[in-house]
Amino acid sequence: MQNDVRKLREDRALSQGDLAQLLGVSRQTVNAIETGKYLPSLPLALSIGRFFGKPVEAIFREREEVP
Amino acid sequence: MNLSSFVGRWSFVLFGVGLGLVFAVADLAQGVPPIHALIAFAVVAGYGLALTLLRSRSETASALAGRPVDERWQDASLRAVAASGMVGAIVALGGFVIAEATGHDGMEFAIVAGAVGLAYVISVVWFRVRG
Repeated sequence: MQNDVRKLREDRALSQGDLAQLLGVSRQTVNAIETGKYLPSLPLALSIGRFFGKPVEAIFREREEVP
Repeated sequence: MNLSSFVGRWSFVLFGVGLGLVFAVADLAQGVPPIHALIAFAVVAGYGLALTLLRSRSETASALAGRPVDERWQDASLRAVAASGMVGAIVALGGFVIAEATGHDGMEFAIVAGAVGLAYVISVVWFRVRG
């Protein structure tokens, strides 16, 4: 999976720690989501979508295959 | 701080102290020198105390103390439990095979392996029913 969490966060001038606090998770978890090492649960993905005002599928998508 | 929040905060320490006392009493009952029983108690109780004190500074310590800080740590903790169970099953089965092959009684290993296997089957059925 790929996601735009880092870009959306940086667009709002938030640090990983700020976003983590707003979402109720640790900073490392935000970092793991941004780097694709951790796939958030549906409730957390929905919280992320709600926070950025976007549907989940606009933030998370399947990794694009390189031909 | 009321009693329930005190117990909640210090539950891992209390568990460590309780388990350490069990170890120490078991050692003393076997006639082991008291200093060995004291060391057994200190190691187990100290582990609980150390993790509880480090919990607020370290997410790893918090997870090790049974208090994962968020869903990613909860997930890691669950996978760690699964991996530990797998290692336990392999050790029990391996111990049983080796004990039997070398002419020793493998019943203790068989009991552990049986308990692990039964727990797995019951868990699968339980979580299947619960969805």
